[in-house]
Amino acid sequence: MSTHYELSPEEDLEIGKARIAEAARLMPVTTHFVSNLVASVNANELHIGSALYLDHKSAYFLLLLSQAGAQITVLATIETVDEQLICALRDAGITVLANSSYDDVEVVDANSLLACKPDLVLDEGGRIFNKHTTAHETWGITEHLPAGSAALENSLLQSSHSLAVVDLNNINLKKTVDNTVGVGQSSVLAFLDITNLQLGGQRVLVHGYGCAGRGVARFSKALGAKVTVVDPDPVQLLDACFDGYHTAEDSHAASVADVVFLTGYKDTPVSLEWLEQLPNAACVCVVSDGAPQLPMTELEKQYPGETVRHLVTQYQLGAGQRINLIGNGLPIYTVAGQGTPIEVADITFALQAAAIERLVESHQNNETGLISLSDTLERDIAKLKLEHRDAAHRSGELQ
Amino acid sequence: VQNRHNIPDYEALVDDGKARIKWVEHHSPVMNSLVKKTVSDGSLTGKRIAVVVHLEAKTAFLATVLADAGAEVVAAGSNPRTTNGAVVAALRDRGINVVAQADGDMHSWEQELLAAADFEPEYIIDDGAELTLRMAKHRPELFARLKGVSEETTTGTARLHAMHAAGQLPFPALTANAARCKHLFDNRYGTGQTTLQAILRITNRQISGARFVVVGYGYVGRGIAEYARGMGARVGVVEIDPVRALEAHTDGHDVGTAKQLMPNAEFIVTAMGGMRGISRPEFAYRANVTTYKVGQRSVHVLSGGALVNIAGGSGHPVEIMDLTFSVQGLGAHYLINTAMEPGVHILPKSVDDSIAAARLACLGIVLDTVRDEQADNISDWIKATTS
Repeated sequence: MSTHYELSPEEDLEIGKARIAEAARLMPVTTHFVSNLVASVNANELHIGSALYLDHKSAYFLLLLSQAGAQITVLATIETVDEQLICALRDAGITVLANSSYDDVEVVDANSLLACKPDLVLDEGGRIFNKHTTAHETWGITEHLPAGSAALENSLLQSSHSLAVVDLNNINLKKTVDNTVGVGQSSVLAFLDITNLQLGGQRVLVHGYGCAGRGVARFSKALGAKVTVVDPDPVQLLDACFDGYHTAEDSHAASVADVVFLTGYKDTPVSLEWLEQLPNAACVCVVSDGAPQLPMTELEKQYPGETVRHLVTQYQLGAGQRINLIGNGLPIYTVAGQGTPIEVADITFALQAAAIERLVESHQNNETGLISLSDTLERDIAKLKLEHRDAAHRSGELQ
Repeated sequence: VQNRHNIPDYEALVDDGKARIKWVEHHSPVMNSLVKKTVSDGSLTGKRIAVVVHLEAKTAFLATVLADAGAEVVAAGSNPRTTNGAVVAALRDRGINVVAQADGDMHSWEQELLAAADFEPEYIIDDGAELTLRMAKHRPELFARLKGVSEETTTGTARLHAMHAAGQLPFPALTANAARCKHLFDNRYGTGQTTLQAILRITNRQISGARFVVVGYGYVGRGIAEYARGMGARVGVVEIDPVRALEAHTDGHDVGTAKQLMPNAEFIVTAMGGMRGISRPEFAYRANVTTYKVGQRSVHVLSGGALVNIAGGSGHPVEIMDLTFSVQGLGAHYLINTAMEPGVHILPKSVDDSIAAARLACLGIVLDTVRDEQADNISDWIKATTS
C-alpha cells in the first residue's frame, strides 16, 4: 500500500472504513462462519491476538470478531503498516501494535504481542509460535502459512507443548484455493506489475511443483509463457508433464530461463552456482514465504546489486550477465501486490473462524498439540461459497 | 509545471525518470537495432516532430531515439491521466521539449496540446488523432503546413478516415494501427495482458471463476477475452458485427446482448474503440475506483473511465511497445522520405515484415524459406489452357 501523505487522519479513517466495507461485501462465507463462532462461543471472554498480514481482508475479519465482543490486539509490522486500516481498526476499539523501526522487527513484535496476553493468536509463519514459552498465557494458535506449518510440526513433535494449535495449511481447501489459485494469480501479476514486461513467448521456469508452483505455472501459461517445471520429486514432475508443461533437469532449465519463480520446494536456497547459470536479463522472483530461497548473503557479497527500478535489483554475475532480482527476494505477491484476492481470503478467514471455535472447545477439554478440524468443514465452506455465487448470479447483482 | 524550483528533490525525480527509460531501452531490441539504424541516415535532421502518445517511459524512449537521430521533438500526452512526472523531468533534462505535466486535467491537457501545436510540428506521431484534430480546429494555418501524421490507434485511424472523406486531410497519414506488427501484438496481447493486470491490481479480485464480459471483439477484445479465459474466467462477449460475434462463439465464449450478459457480470470491459457511458459519481472510496449507483446496483468504474491499463497500470509491456514504436519510428521515417498523396496510407508490408524479422533475429529464431517445389503449378495450367 502506498503512503498517502496528502490525507488527513479523518480521510485515512474514512478510506480505511470504505476499503474494509469493500472486502466485507465480497466475504459472505467469512461473515457466516464468524456468526457460527459467535453462536457457540462467548466472544466477550476471548482475547485474540493477530500476527496476520494486515490488509483490508484480515481487517474485516478482525473487525467482525471485535464487533462480536472479543478483545482484539493486532500486530502491524513495518512492511505492512497501512495507516488507513490502522485508523479504522483503532476507531473500532482494537489495539494495534505498529512498528516504528526496521530493527529487530520479529523479536520486538512477537514479544510485544505475547506481552498483551492474548488467549489465542492468529499466527503467520510461526513468528509468534517460535517465541512462545510455557511462561506465556496464550493457549491457542492458528497457523496458515506453509512456512509456519513446517516449523510447528517439527516443534510439536519434539516437545511437550502446552499449546493447542490448528494448522490451516494442512487443509486441502486452503491449499487449492489460497496456496494455488490465490498465490498463483497474485505472484504472476505482481511480477508483471513490477517489471512492465510481457509473458507471451517468455521462457518461465517454475522451481518446485507444489501448490504455489502449480499456481504460478497455470497463470504463466495462461498469459502465453512457455513453462518449464523442475522438481526433485519424480511424481510431481510426472504430474507437471501430464499437466502440459515442459519438464527438465534443473541445471539445463536454468540456463535458458527468462523468468524464474522459486516456489520453495526445499528448505535450502538455490546455490550461487545455480544463479550463475541464468542467462543475461533473467528475472528471479521468490514466491514461497517459507525458508530462504536465495543465497542473499553470498550474492550480495560477491556481486553488489544496483537498484534499476522500483523493486528490481540488478546483479552482474561472473560471466558478465546481469540478472534482475524482483521484489528484494521477498514473496512478490505481498511486496508488490495486495496479498491474495478477496474471494480467496473469504475462504481462508472462514477457516480461521472455524479454527478459533475448535480451539476454544479444545481448551475447555484440556486438549493440546495439533488440533484437527471437523471432517465436513471443507465441504460446508465450499458449498456455501458456491451458493453465494449462484445467489448473486440469480439476483443479477453486480458484485 | 514541475521544475527544479518547486520540487524538493528534483534530481531524484530526474533519476527516477532516467531509470524508467533505461529499463525500456534494455528491453527494446528492435528499436535499438533496426529503428536506430534506419532513422539515423540524416533524413530526420532538423525535422520538427510532435510525439503525442501516453507520456510514460516507452513513449519517452521513442522521443529520445528520434531526437538522437537529429529531429526537433516536442512531447505531449495523449490523455491527461497517463503522463508520468518522472519521465517528463528526465526528458526535459535531456533537452527535449515537453509540454505535458503529470496530474493534469482535461483543461490543462487542452492547453498542452495547443502548446504542442504552437511548436509548429511538420510531422505528428499521434494517438487518437488528438493533436491532428485540435490543430485542424484551433490552428488552421499550422494544420495546413503539416506534412504528415503517423497514427497509433484504431480510434484515431477512424477519425483520420472521416477527415479524409470530408475532404479535410490535406496531407498523407500513415495508420500505424494497420501494420500487422502493431495490431496483432499491441492491441491483442499488450492490451489483453495489461488490462487484466490493472483490473486485478486495482480491485484485488479473483479472476478464476469470475463472469467476465467483454464489449467488442476486435483485436483488443479478443486479447482480453483470451487472457481472461486462460486465467479461469467465464467469458461473455457483446458484439454487433455478426462475423466477429460468430468468431467469439467459435472461440468458445458466450455471446449475447448487453442485456443478457451484463446483469450477471462481475467484470465488464469495454473494448469497442468507441465512446462513453455512465452518469455522475456517487462516492469515491479508493484510488482509481469510482462507484456509481445505477438502479439498484453499484457499478465501480476503474481509473476514471480512462484506459485502465495505462491510467491504472503501467501501460503496455515494454516488448510490445518495442514493436509498436518501431512501426511509429519507421513510419515517421517513411513519411519524411516518401512522396505520398494526401489520405490515409498503410505502412508498406516490407517495412512491417522487417520489424518482425528483426525481433525474431534478436530471439535467435530462424525461419524456413519456401522451396521451389512448394510453389503452386497454376502457371502450367494457365499456359496449357491458353496455348
